[in-house]
Amino acid sequence: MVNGFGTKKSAILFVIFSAIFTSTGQILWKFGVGNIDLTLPLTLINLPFVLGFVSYGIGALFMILAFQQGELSVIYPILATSYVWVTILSPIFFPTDFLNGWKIAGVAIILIAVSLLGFGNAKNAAETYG
Amino acid sequence: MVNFLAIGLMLVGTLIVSFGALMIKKGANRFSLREMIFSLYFWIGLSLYVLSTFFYILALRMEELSFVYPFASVSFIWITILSVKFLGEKMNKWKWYGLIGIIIGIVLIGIGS
Repeated sequence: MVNGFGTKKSAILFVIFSAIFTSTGQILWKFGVGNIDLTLPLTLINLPFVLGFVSYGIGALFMILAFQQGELSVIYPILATSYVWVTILSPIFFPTDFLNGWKIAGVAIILIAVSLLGFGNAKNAAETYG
Repeated sequence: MVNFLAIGLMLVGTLIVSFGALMIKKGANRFSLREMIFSLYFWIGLSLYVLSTFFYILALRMEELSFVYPFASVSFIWITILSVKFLGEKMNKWKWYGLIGIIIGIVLIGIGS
């Protein structure tokens, strides 16, 4: 199944999964780093931190699958939504974190900026490979 | 007020991860997937990814997640620069807009943090 951009629908699903697992990994890591005592390396092995690694790893695998089948101009914008998800979710899970207009504007601009980078990279790739 | 040490850690950490991505890309360009996994490029790249994780953890301990994670998009800037310098990729106006946008976005998040 190929859409108008020449990217398989499965690739779009993969990159959505990648963004979800990557974002989940970030939340888990933030929970986990609170349990880490740098003088005791074994505290690195705590449940949220390890689960965060697993989630991040699954996200990375989905990203590799997406890159094999999809175009950069489609993959980059979807991957970059993870910045939005994490920024929205963090204040919900961590009471010391907060949202405001600056942060919302900043993360929206980063989402657009990463999409433009993906578009720029795809344009060069198209010129190189026809 | 954002912790300047956290910013420094993120700048170094994202630079390290970007060199890691460059190494893995160099390996991927030169070898098949199976050969690549046994190549020095891949293992150096992977080691750099692991090393960058330590910088990220330290920054994450100091600062809120809603600052640290979007800041990681700086790696897109490094990767673009490294790709032009070491992989012969070309810049275009869309990429410039993207790089400038990431900087503006991070500055806004920094102001809001």
